[in-house]
This record gives sequence, structure tokens and C-alpha cells, in this order.
Amino acid sequence: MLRPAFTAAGVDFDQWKALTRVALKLDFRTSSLGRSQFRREASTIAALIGQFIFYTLMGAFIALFVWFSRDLFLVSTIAMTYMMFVIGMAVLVDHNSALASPADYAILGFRPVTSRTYFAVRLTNVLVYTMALTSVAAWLPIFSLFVRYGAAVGVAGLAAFYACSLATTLAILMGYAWMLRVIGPDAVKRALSYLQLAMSFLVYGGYFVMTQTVGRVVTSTASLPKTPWLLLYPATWFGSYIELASGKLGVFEIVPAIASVGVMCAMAASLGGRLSLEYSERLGAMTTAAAPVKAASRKPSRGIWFKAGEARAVALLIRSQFRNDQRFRMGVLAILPMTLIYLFSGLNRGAIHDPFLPAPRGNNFSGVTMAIMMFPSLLKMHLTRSESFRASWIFFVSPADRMKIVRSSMRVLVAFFLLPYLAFVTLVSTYFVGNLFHVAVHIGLQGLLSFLVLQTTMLIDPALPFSRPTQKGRDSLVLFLFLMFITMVSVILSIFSAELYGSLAATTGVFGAVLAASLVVDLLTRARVGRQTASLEFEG
Amino acid sequence: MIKTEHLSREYGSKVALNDLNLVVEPGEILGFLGPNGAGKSTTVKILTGMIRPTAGRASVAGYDIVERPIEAKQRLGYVPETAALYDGLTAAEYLELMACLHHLDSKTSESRATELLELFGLAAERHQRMSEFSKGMRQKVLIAAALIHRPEVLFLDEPLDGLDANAALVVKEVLKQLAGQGRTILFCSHILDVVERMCTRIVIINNGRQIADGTSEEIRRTTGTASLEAAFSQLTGVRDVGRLAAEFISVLDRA
Repeated sequence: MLRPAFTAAGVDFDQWKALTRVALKLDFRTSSLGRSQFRREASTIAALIGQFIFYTLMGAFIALFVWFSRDLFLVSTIAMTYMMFVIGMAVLVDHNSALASPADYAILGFRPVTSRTYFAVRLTNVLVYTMALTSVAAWLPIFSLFVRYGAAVGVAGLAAFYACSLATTLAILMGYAWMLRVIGPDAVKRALSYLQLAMSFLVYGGYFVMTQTVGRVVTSTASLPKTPWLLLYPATWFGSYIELASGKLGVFEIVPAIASVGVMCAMAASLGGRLSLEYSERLGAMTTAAAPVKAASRKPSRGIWFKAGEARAVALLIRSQFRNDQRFRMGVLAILPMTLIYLFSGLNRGAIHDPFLPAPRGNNFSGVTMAIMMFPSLLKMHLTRSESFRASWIFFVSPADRMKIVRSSMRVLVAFFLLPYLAFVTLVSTYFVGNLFHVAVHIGLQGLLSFLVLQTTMLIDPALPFSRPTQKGRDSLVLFLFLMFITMVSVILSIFSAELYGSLAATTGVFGAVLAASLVVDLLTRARVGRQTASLEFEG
Repeated sequence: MIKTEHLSREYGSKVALNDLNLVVEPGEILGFLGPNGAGKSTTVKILTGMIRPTAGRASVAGYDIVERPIEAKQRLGYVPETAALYDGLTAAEYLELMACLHHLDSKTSESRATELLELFGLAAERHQRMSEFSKGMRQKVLIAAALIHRPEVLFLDEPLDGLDANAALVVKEVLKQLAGQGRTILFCSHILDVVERMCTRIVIINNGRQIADGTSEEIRRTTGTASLEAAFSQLTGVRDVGRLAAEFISVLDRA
């Protein structure tokens, strides 16, 4: 049944089937060396269960909201915003190079596979993943719609969730394909991570602004008024399916629904046109796009820190990977949209205030504190996993002290990324708060806390830099639990900051306690991580 | 020198290496041969400390690789079979990285890196990222990286792979001279002509077990064959190459 449709679209069905099957198989496979079949399968199953729990929990919040709210427009807007955010972030984080990476092209470029077939395989790979994610993330909200509003609304909800997810995926992928065609392979190769950064600004910022706006409106009116401006927001287009099914058949419901179908058709037509026809040609050009050759006389600077041994090696590697490894660079830079949006939101709500004074009522959550505390651990996550993990054999055959490598990794992360980041946040906060000393003390404490978190994550799961294969979405559950913990700490810090800085003794005591904890974790790291890393085996 | 005693490694229920006993003396170039999946790479990975044996002992330059890995690794150099390197680095940075991991001071590291890159004709490209390098250029960098700390023992897994004829000649000559200086070399390759010409002794393994040990001539004599290639085929189970090739062609014709 599918074959004629594929043939009509210019896609070779047999090749598509074979390549798609392989691509999906590879997504679920991990490195085999040193692991038994049972352990590999157990690890994959555990990761899948973890993802199921994580996204089901996220969906549960929306399901509760669906259950208790009486405004169907509000419910559908929130639910579709949630869907767009989940899918948008998943595509950006896990499939960031799905369309714009020439890696597979080296294997398939010389085979008799047409550009369109190749494009369809890549597209299918991402769509299978996002549709599966939609099923897991949306089953509870859909169930809630079914039970609360009846079968018709439930079915419309089902259609809305999947259509919204499909449209979000297509929009991001079309963005990549369009850039590849319009700005050219050389520019995409150089600027891919910045493009992703811009997109994550869009996805994260859109989500944040929308939830803030909706939150404000709902708090005052308990419903969401349907204004023409709000109807420009794509989530409302898909949400209108639900309203139509409930019997509301006005212009403000029909037009958005038509707009959603129209947009999806336009995107499908665009992807099926020149974008896919010239796709492999562009990828081919990417494989030969060369970086400018530097003058042979240029001698790399040795810097001020990390001058010798393991520390120098790690610093050299991390610096070069940041310059050249898209995934790592994106992982590092991804903190920026989050921070800037939290800063912006904090300014709006009055949450950015002099930390030596009590927080304004109801503004006890500081997203910036959360971002600061999360940053090093996110860095650690991106530091250990890499597409180049096979090159990590050098750490295993050289007489390097692996414990020193692990500890140096932490110090390099702090020096290269955390300190400049803290300086940036301090400067911006000082600009708004006005008291550099107060801000510096507060950010300093958060910096120490975030370093402590980094030390602890290294203690729990020590790993050599860029030595583990990348795995799509496998850290979601850990990240979720970690986020809960960090949110709790940042709320506590925000509530008690004025008391904390109220007396010199209290301030010194807290700083002393964090430093002491850091020393204890360092001692534990020396004792435990040395033993653990000594028994690590090469995973390539 | 390299020494293994009853060395074994299992991956789950699969035995990759079984009771390997091997001694390679200083000054020797040992050709380490075997069909695909015979256990060559597993042996090299154990001897270089990348993985641990499940039984037995192994020492490199007199140091047990499990008990005293740092001392052993200070004295070994390794060229891996897959040219896996952090190709975002430049050639100079990669050699510096290796020198740092071997705790060479910056002056020594820089002068040796310059010498080695000049020897391999990569001086002009030293500040170019290796992602732009050809396979042969990457292989040259890997060989240079294996030599930068002047190791006593060298493990080379297909070191000539990707090299042009001139570079291969240089590498072969370098290896002979290094052996002449008393360094121990374990050379894995599937190119039997090269092994026959370069190696002072040959060990063949199959299914994780050692099945032959001696000079090329001794192995030929023992198997009653005219060439190392024929001896290898006979020892590793491929007895009638002609018939196998004919079957292969007939399968292609059928398809």
C-alpha cells in the first residue's frame, strides 16, 4: 500500500525500508565492547523505561490541568504549548544533526540512492522518534480529555497532539534543510551550532513567554480570552481541533484549524520539492567544505593555566572540542538562552533583587540560580559523551593518571566556562541591582554550590573526557530528578538569602560549610574515583 | 620486552583469547598474524592496558600491565588499527596532547613534534585541523604520536594502512632501525609480504589460540608450504583457495 505512494513521491521504497530499519536499530544500540548482551539489553530497556516515566510524569501535570480546568481554549493552548516544547527540545538536542550532518553521506554517497530517498530516510528517523515521544508524553492528557469531555473531544485531542508534534518537527527540520540550501554547506558547517542555539532560543523562549503570559492571565481571570493576537500563536491552531470537537464552530475555531492544515501541507510540499531534491548534493558539498588552512608558523599559545601534564592535555582537548565538536559546543552554549530568559523573566517579576534584602512577596524562585547550579553538571554530561569517543584510547594506553584527568576536567570546565559565565551573570545582575559586592557574594556562593554539584556528579559517575558514545535522550530521567533537586535548592537559597547575608557570621558559616563539603567530596573523589577509573575499560 | 603467561580474555560467553604464552625479546620485530576475529586486537588491547585480561598475566618492558600500568605505559607506544583521533585538533596539538599525557616537558615535546612531522612531510600542515587530513596523513600523525616519547616497546596494528609507497618505505626503515636499537616491536598486519620481509619472528593465532611460532622459514618448513601465505591459509583452515574463489564467482554469477 505504501509502495505506490513512495514511488509517486520519488522515493525508492525498498531502499527507504532498509535504511530506515538500520537507522532505528543503530539508535537503540550502544557500544558493545566489554559488555555482555544481557547488560546491553538491560541498559537499553532501563533507558526506555526511564524515558517513559519521565515523559509520562510531564504529561501527568498537563492531564491534571485538563481535568480541573473549565476553559477548553486554555486547556488546549497549554497542552499544545507543552507538546511543542517537548518535541522542539527533543529534536534540537537529540536530532540536532539529523538533517544537516554529512556523517552517513560518506557511507551512502556513492551508492545508487537518490537524494529524495536519502532525505526521506532521515526524515522518517526523526519522525518515528518524535511520534513515539508524542505517544508517551501525551497519552495521559489525551486520556484525561476522553474521560472529562467525551470521545469526540478525546479523538480531537489525539489528532491535535500528533499534528502539533508533526508540525513542530517539520518546522525545525525544514529550517535546517532550508539553511543548507540557501546559506550553503560551508556556512552551515561553520554555524550549525549557532543556528541550533537560535532555534533553542525560539523554542525555549516561546515556551517561557507563553507560560508566563498564560499564567498571568489565568491567575486574574481563571480563563484565557481568545484575542486575535493570541490566535497568531501556532499552538492555538492545533488546540482549535479540540474546541471544534466540543461543538464550538465559530470563525475563531475554524480558521485556526484550517491554518494548521494549510501550514502542514505547505511544509510537506516544500520538503518534497527542491529542499529534498538538492539535499544530498548539499551534504556532499559539506563533506568537502574545508576549514581555512592556518599559517604553518602559528604557534599555539600555552595560556596561563594548565601548563603541563594531564591538566594541559585536558585543557587542550576541551578547547579544541569546543571549537570543533558541534554537540559539545551546543551543550555548553545551551545554557545561554535559559539564563537570558530567566534574567528577563526575573526582571519582569522583580525576582532579581538585592540578595541582601528580602525577596519581594511571591518571588522566591530564581531561575538564574537554577541555571548557575545546573550549568557545570550539564557541561559534565556533554563532556563525557562524544561522537569521537573512539579516539579516547589515548587515555588508556598512556601513563596518565586517570584520577588527575577527571579532576583536571572539572577544573578546566570551571576555568573555561563556569567562571566567565558567573562573571557575565554578575555583571548583568549588578547592572540591575546596583550593588556589585552584594551580587558578587551571592553569585560566588551559587558558584561554589554549583562546583559542589559538579564534584558530586563526578564522584557518582566518573568518566574520562569524550570517552563515551552519545545516546539519544537517555539522560532524561536523571536530568528530571536533578532538576527537581536544583529547583528546591534555588528556592531555599532565594527564601533565606537575606537571613544568610544578614550577619557576617552567618555568611562566613555558609561559605565555610560549602567549602568544607567541597573538600570532603574532593577527598572522597581522590579515594573512590582513583579506584573506579583505574578499572575503566576502553569503550570503542 | 613483551611477555604473556596464560593470557585469556572472555566477552560474556565468547572466548576471544585463550591461554596465550608469548615472549618477544628486545630487538625483535614480531609479526603477529591471524584471520579476522582471531584475537590479535584483543591481545594488543590487553598489552596496551585498554582492557583487562580475564585470566593470566602480561608484562611490557618488565612491568605487569595490570599491577603496574603506569610504568608499563611510560614505555610503550601504540598505533591503533582504526585511525581514531580527535580530529578537531591540529597535528601539532595532537602531538602536544600525547606529549602531555606522557609528561614530556614543553621544550622536548615541541622539538620532537617538529622533527617527527618533518620526517613524515607534514611540517607545512602542522597547524591544520586533522579533520581535513587524508587517511594517510592521519596515519602518519598516529605513528608520530606513538614515537614522541621514544618508547621501548611498540605495538603497531596495521601501521602501513593508508600510507603512500614512499611513506611506507620510511616507516619500514624506521621500524628496522628502532629494532636495531634494541626496541621491541609487535607488528600486526594482514599484508603477509611485508610481515615476511620485516619481521624477525612470526606468531599466528586463530580462534584465540596460538597455532604457530617461528621465523617465516620455520613456519613454511613445518607446514610443508612454499610461502607464508600458503602456510597461513593452511594453518587457519582455508585449504583450497582456488575452489573457494570459484564458488564465490559462481555465487556472483547466479545472482
